[in-house]
Amino acid sequence: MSRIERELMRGAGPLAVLKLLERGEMYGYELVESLASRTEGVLDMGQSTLYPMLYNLEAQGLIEGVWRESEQGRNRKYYKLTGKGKKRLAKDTEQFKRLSAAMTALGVLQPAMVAIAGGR
Amino acid sequence: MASTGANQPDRDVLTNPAELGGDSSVRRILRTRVPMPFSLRSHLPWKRRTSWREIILAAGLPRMLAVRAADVIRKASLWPSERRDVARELCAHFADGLHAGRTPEELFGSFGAVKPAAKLISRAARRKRPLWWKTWRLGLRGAAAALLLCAGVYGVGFAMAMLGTPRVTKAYAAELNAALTRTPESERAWPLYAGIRKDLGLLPEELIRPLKDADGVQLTGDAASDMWPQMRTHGRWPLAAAWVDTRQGPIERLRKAAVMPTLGCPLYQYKGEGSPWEQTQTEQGSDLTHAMEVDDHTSLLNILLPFCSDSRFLARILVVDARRGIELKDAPRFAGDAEALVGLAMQAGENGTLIGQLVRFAILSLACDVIREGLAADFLDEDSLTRIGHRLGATGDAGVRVTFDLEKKFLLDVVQRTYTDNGSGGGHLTYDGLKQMYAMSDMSMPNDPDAAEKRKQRDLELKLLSPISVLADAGREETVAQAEKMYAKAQTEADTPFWLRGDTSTDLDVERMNQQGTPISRKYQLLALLMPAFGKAGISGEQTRQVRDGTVVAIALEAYRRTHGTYPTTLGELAPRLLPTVPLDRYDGRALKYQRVGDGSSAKPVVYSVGVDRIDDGGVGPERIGNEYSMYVYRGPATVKAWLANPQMKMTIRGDWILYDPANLNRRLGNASASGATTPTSNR
Repeated sequence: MSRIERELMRGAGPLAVLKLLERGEMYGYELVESLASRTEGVLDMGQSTLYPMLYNLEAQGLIEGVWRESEQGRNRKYYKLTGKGKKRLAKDTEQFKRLSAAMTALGVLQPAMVAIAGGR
Repeated sequence: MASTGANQPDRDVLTNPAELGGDSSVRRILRTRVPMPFSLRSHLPWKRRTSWREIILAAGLPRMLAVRAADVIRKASLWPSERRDVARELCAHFADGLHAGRTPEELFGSFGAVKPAAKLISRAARRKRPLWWKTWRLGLRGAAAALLLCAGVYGVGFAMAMLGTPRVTKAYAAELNAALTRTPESERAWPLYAGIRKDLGLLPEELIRPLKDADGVQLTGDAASDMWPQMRTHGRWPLAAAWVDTRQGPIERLRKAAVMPTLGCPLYQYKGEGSPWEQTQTEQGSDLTHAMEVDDHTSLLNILLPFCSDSRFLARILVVDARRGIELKDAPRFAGDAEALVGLAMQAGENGTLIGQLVRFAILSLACDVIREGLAADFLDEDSLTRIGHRLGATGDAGVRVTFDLEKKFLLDVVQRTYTDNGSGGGHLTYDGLKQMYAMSDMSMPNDPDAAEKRKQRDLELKLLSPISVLADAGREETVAQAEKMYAKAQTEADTPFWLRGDTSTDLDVERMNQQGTPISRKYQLLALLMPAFGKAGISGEQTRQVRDGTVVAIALEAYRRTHGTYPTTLGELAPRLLPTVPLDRYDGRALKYQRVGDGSSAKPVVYSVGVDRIDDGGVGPERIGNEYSMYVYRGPATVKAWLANPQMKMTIRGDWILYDPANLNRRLGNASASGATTPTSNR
């Protein structure tokens, strides 16, 4: 992974996780799988990246983790958005949209890509 | 945690905890369980918690995944509770993956690198920790940074102190020595003194031992206080008188040497460290066996001034001989001794050192005391009066003026041996320089058997503290500038007569600098150590001038009486034939005060200054007997005003400073035959 890619991932990764949790609580493996499948592998981050990111978001009070037994009888830590996390998601999404629009205006991004970045 | 390895072959499941890796030695020690009886353990308020290893083992993960999780946890720096949380979460993750049909190899491959993961997890865990821990860590880091900074600064100071080397560019001592010895030896008094001292010999034991009464108790008071009897009222005066009578040969040579215009005493230095020179130094004068003349390398700090002690010793002999002259009414002998005393005083200050100038003032004051006694005894012929008057008058302004020129050179010499030199006046202190500065204290312990050990200890302390000294010091340029400022201020003060002086003194600046541990004493370390008591020296000069002027007036008065048969009604009548002008009272800036007590030819004079209280009491001395000294000591106008308002303090300064009062002087010295009318100066 190049330096630029790393920087992009550093900004996009947490936003992607917050976005996924917007719909409801998810556990670690579920998040990894969702990120990989829904972004066609672009945000396929290993556990070594995801879990530190989750802990960071939790430390910032943006998400909240709760240990609970699943229907299959396994103990999992489920993460959900906090009020603070929702505000951050809204703010970061807005910023990302403006960035995407700027990139599109410059011809860096195609409109179709913008649609993906905009979450449509 | 429920086992998630049910669909994996049993051989892949990790069961041996040793495969999860061990802790570091420190962590193992910290985790060692203290053995205690089972009964006691069951009563402990806490229960042992499951370890992260037990959590991984219990998860029943395939070996490669269990080891991967363990690797991450071991490498991350986490609290035990955090390790347990991470272990649970990673195990749950792998179990979910296996349950979703992923192979252990796939999960292993998608995990990512262990080291960055451990680092990121550690960082995230730290962010989650409580505020007290974050504050403590910040404090710890701050302290460590401060310590590091201090160590760095200390290191820089240490390097400056140890690597810097002073550069001596000027041989101040050698230059001064050349000036002092420029006159041919035949025209210098110093070479004569060695022979005179040898011929005078040592003072007999019975003259210098403490005076005791019949019961062997040591006597005190005026009659016994002298090192050897100089007053005619002293119990052993006859012995002293007999001693000088038998030594008229060398004393006559002393009179001739003392009136030579040049002393020409070279500057001497110790031959080496630990020289016994000081041990042989006695009140008898110097023994220069273990000293040698200065060379180009000698510091002014290390010079010896043998004539300071020699001149005091010789002055005492002349004082005794002059008083013997009064006793025998031998005018030529007295006049010769008085002239010699004045000459000796001038020679003592020739080298320009502050100590030399102070010795000059002391001997000149002593000479004036003796001259006034001789005048009061009324036996001097006109020729003797003229000789003494001319000799004393010739001392001029220069004879009673304090100068700090040599002191300044003394400081500059120490500076060049203490600081580095960047060629443009700047530089910093060095360890070598500091060692030299503090070596001065060695001079006070030449006989100390532990001196070497103490010196070693002091040098070590100095080495350790030198970086702080170097960094706290103002540096060469600023130190010299500050010294110049202080010398200039001190010289102005010394040249200001008492009547124009205020309440402040340069000595206050010096005292402030001498207060240990203050920022200014650290900033100007060299000055704190070397600056003399300027103000006191300046005061001494003014006092000596007043005493000298009063004595010159007294000589003129006696000369006038010899011509006119009576004393004048005012001092103005003495000028211009006997005095160029009437000298000034140093305390009010007007002419010296004069009273003529009694009528006709029996009238007696009183010459006086208003004294420290600046009040003219008509020639009446201090209120308290023995308080005459207070009349000499300068006090500022504000201090005087405050003391006059305080009944206790008032007593210490009230009264005039009597400069010449023959009637009372004769009565005090027992010269009954010469005394006449009683003057108002008898203590009230």
